[in-house]
Amino acid sequence: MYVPDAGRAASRALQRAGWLLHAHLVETKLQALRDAVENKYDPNQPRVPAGNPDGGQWTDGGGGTGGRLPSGPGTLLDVDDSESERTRLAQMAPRRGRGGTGRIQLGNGQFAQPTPAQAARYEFARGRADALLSQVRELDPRWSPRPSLRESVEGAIRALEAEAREAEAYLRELPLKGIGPGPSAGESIPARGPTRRFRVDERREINRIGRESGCHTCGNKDPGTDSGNFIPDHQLPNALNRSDVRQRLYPQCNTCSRRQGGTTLKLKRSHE
Amino acid sequence: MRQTDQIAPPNSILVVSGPKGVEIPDPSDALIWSTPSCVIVGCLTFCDGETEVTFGDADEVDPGALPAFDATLKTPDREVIVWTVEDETIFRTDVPDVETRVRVWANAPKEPDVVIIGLG
Repeated sequence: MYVPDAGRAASRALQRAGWLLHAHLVETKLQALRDAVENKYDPNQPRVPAGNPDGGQWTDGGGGTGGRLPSGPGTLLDVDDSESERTRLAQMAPRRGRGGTGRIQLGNGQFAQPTPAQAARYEFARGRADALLSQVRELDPRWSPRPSLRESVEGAIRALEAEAREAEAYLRELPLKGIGPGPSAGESIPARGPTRRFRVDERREINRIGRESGCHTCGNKDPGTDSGNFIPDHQLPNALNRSDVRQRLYPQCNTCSRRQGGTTLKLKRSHE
Repeated sequence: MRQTDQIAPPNSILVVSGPKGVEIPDPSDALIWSTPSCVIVGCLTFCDGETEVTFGDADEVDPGALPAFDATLKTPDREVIVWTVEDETIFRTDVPDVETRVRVWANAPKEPDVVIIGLG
């Protein structure tokens, strides 16, 4: 199902997640360097030459300074690890969590500070859940995922992942009811807008596709109409195509067409 | 008052209900399916032609045959409308009570091209 806004939202979410993952990688490398320095890492310490079974390993073979990497202003290790600097960096980042300034609001109303890795996972999960939810709500504005516990950052991430799974399952279910190209969808032809006055060539083509691949919703190759014609079905259905997405016509049987009408009515009522 | 129109409604169905508080029935394979506040009536497949739909007091429109559907519809707004999936209102009428008997006659069990909706 194509919903342009959802695609853009997902893309923005992925960009945010990419930024955070990158920040996390940099932070991890810096931490590794700090750890190495604290363990008296010396870049000049000799290694066993390549080709030796212990190639690349540090040796005690002298030559090392035993000193520390240069640190201080203007050097690689010019890292201000204070709380205020962390907060400043978090504010520079795109909004990470629903709490703003990188903090994530939990179910009890409290805010929690995620680690960079958690922030990245949270952002990714949130972007995915938001994109899927916006797709669902485009069709069914009243739909809500089941509430989940968010008592920790990990809980909040799991809750978002659960929301995304639930929305995905809902979206997967709709084509079985005629909303969206169904599981038996084969070829389709472009629709000339929402009109239901089909040309002879369009009906002929829909009948050909229907005879080959069946009703796009249920796969039945018998259209179930007195005329023996398949029904050219707009996807998305006209009544739900509020974003004016370009539609296509798929063959549908009479039973699925009527059932689709009932489902459409139910979805439309949820808009009111 | 008897009203008649020739229509090819989307999804080949018509909805009979009040204007608000309508509980849409779950889709069914039957020609007519309903809840206490909504009746859905199948018609001739919309792309194969129009259905002649007549709407009015049952006394006026009763063709003298056994109806395909006979039940009481909740009409708390004292109004009944016949409308389509795409929200086009085909007929509307005021009714005296908060519940209205609805009878539907159809000239075929699957794809009727004549449908009569009688109230009262």
